[in-house]
Amino acid sequence: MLDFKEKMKIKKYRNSLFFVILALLIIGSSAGLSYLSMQDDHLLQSRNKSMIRIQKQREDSLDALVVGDSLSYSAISPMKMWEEKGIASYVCGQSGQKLQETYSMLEIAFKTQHPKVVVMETGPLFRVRGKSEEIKSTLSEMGNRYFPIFRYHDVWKTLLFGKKYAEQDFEGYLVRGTKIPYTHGDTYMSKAKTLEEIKPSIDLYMQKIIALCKQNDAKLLLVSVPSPHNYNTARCNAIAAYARENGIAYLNLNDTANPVGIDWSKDCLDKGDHLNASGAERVSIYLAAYLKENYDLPDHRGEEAYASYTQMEKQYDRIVNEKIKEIRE
Amino acid sequence: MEELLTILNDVDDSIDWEHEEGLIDNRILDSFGVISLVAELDETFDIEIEASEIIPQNFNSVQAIYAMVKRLQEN
Amino acid sequence: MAYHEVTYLFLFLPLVLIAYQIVPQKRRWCVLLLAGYAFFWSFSKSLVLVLMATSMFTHYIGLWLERVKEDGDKKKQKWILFFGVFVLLAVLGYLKYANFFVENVNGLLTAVGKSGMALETKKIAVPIGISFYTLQAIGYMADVYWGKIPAERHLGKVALFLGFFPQIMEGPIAMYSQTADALWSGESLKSENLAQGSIRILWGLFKKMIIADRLYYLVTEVFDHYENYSGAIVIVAAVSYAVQLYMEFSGCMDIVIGSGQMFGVRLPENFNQPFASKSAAEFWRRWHMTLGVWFKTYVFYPVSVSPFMRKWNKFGKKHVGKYMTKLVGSAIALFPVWLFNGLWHGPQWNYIFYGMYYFVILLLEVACEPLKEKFYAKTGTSETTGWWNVLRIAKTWIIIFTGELFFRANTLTAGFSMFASIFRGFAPERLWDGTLLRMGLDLADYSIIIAGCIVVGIVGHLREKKKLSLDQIAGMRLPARWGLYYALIFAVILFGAYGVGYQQVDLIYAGF
Repeated sequence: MLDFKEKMKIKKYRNSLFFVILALLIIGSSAGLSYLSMQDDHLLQSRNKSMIRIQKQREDSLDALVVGDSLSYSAISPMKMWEEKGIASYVCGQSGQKLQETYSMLEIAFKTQHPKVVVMETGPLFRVRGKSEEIKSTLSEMGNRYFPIFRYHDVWKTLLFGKKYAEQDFEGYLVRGTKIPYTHGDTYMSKAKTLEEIKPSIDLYMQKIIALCKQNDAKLLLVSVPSPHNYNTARCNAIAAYARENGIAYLNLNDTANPVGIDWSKDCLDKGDHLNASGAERVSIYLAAYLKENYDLPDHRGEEAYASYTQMEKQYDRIVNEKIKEIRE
Repeated sequence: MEELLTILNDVDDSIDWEHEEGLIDNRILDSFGVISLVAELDETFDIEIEASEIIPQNFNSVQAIYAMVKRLQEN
Repeated sequence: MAYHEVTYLFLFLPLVLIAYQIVPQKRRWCVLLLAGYAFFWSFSKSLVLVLMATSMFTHYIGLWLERVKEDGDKKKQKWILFFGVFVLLAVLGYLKYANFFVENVNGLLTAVGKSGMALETKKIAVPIGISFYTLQAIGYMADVYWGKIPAERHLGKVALFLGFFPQIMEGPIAMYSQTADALWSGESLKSENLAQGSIRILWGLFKKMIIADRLYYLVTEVFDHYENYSGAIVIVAAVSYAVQLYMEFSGCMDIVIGSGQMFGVRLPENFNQPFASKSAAEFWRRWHMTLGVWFKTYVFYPVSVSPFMRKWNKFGKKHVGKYMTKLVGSAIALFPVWLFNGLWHGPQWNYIFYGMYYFVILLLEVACEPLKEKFYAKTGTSETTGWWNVLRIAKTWIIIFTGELFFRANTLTAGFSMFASIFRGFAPERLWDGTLLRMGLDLADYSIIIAGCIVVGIVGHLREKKKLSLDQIAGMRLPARWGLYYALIFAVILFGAYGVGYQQVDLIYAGF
C-alpha cells in the first residue's frame, strides 16, 4: 500500500510524462510535415510556398532578397532584374505579410543565403492593428516557427484528397495580367497631410529585422513601390525620417516626378493598389539599375552556375511579354 | 388536501398527482401548466402566489404544493 | 481578445491561472476581477467604465432594497426595483438601440414627407457583453427583491459576479446563487479541475475551429449574395447556418465553462443536445438555456401572476371557457418574452421577427395540445413511440432551420426573399454541379465538416443517454484517457480552420 505522499509523487511524474509525450508528438510531427513540405511545395498554399521555395534555392546563390506583402511580389520581378543587370534575387513576399513573418522569413533565408542586400517593401509598416492583434500575430508566428505543424497543418488536404496548390511564379514574382486603371494621376503624392507616425509595435520588430540583417552582413534597403492606395506624402516622409534615424537606405518610387515612369492608365492592377505585369516591368528595370549602382551587385549572366536562370528567362519572356503587350495595347 | 386534488385533476386528469414526486423535474408540468395551476390555486384558496414562489421545490409534488398553499394562507 | 484566440488560450488564461494560484486565498477575487476588467477592456476599451458603474449601481440597489424591506414597505421596494431595472435597461437601450430607434423614426419622417426633421444618428461602438451582464444584474436585483438571496454587502463580490471574464462576452447568464460563492471563495487550483477544464476547452475548439469556421464561408457567401441563390442551395445555407451557430456558440460555451471549471467555478450549462428536441418548446429548453431560464424566471412567471392576468383568469373562466383562458393567458405571458428575446439579440427587424416567429409557434403548440391528446388516444401512439418521435424531431428541425434563416438574413426583406426562393426555383442540380465548391470550401473541407458533425452527433447521443460525461472520462483507464486527449489536440491542430487560406472568424454571439 502506497501512502498518500507517494501517490501524489507518482501523480506528479505522470502528469509531467503526459506533457513530455505531447511535446515529442508535436515536435515529431512538425519535423515530418516540414520534411514533406520540402519535398513537394505543391502541398502548400501560396503564403507558405515562398517559405519553402527560398530554402530550395541553391546555397549562396542570391545577391538580393526581397520581402514584404503583396505589393512586393506584384511589383518586383527578379527575372527582369536578371535580364537587365544579371542580378540574382528572390522575392519572399507573402500576401499581407506581417513584420513578425518578415522576420521569420529572413531568419530562414539567412540559413542558406548570404545576400548583399535585403530589399524590404514598406507596405507592412503601415498595417496598423490594435495591441491585441499584435500580440496575437507574435504568438502565432512563434508557434509557427518553433512548431511547424501549425504552419503546415493543412497538408492533409493534399495527402488525403490530392488537392494541389499549383501556382506559377518566377523567383517569387507573380505575373498579373489584369488592368483596372487608377484615374487620379500622380497627384496623390502632392497631398501633404500631417506626418504619419511609425507605431512602437512596428518599431519593435523593425529593430529586430535591422539587427538580423546587420548580423548577416546584409544591407537593408526600404522601398516603397508605386501605389496610390498605400502611399501618400505623409507616409513616405515618415518612412524617410525613420530610415534616417536608423541609418538605413530608403528608396521611394512614389513621387510626382514619377521616376519609374508609371502610366496609371495602364500599369495598374486594381485602381491604385497593386501594379500589374507592365508596371512591374518598369519598377524592376529601375530597381535593377539602382541596386547595381548602389550595391555593386555582380553580373552573373553567362555563368555556368546560373544556367537555370537563362532557361527560366525564355519561359518568362514568353509569358510576360505577351501579357505586357495585351496590357499596353 | 382534497380540494387541492380536485383542482389538480381538473387541470389534467391523466397525471397520477398523488404519487408523482418530480412534477417539474420530470417535465410532467410544463410552464404553461404551472401558470394555469397557479391561477386556479390563487382563486380557490384566496392566496397570491408570487413569481418568486414559482420554483421547482414548490411544485414538484402534491405535498410541496400543499405546503406552499398552507404557508401562504397563514401569512 | 476572444475565447478561441491564441492570445486567450496561451497567454491570458495561463497568466490568470498562475496569478490566481500565487496570490493568497483571501485576495484571489481581486485577481479574477482585475482579469475580468482587463479582458473586457481588450475589446470594449472605455466601456469597461459602464460595467464598473453597473456593478456599483446594482450593489447599491440591493442594499437599498434590503434596508426598505426591514421597514416592511412593500410598495417602496417595488418602486426601487422598477427604478433599478429601468436604469439598467435605459443604459442598455441607449448603447444598443438608440440608432435603431432614430433610423426608424427618420424612415417614418421621410415616409410622411418631413425628412427635414430627421434626427441625427450617433456613432456608438457596438457594445460587447453588455446584453449578458445587464440580465445578470437585473436577475440579482429581482432575487434580492423577492428575498431569494440576501443583498450582498461587499461591492467586490457583486462586481465579480457581473465581471467574471469567461462569461463576460457570451454568457452563460448565471444567477447570483449559482456562481457568486464559488467565485468568491478563492479555492486553490486542483489538477482534476484543470484536466477536466482543458478537455472541455479542447472539445469547444473542435466544434468551433473544425466545423463552424469552415461553414462560415458557405453561409457568408449565400446570405450575403442571396440574390444569386435559390431553392436547394438556400436550404443548405440555412441548415449550415444553424449548424455553424450551434457549433460556434456551444463550442464557445465549452471553452467558457471549461475555463470556469479550471478555477473550480461551475457555470450553468447553456446547451443540452438541442437538435434532439421534439418540439419548439423543448428546443428552447435545450438551446441557449440560461437565456430561456432567465426569461421564464424574470418575465414569464412575473407576467403570469400579475394583477392583469389574475383579472383575465377570472373573466376568462366565466366567459370563454378553460381552453381559451389558458391559451390567451399563455399568449399574454409569452408575448413579452419573445418580443424581448428578439430585441435582446439586437436592433434589427429580423430579430424581432425571429422572436415573433417563436411566439406564434409556441402558442400553436399550446393550442394543439388537446388535438395531440386525441391523436394519441386514437392511434395508440404516445410520447415514446419511436417513428412518431423521429417525425417530431424532423418537424422541429424544419422549425429551427426556418427560424435561423430569418435570424441570419441580412435584412428581414432578404429573409423573406430567401424563404420564397426555396419554393420558386428548387434547382436541386446545383447541389452537385459544382456550385458548392465555389464557396471557398473544397471537397476536403466538406468531408471534414461532415466527419466532424458525425463525431459531435455521436458524442451528443452518448451524452443524451448519460453514457458520457467529464467524470466518466476522468474515470477511464490512463492509456484511453491520454489517447483521447492527444486525439483531440491533434484533431484541432491538423483540421482546425486557421492559418494560411483561412480567415479568423469572430464569435457570433459576442455581437448580441
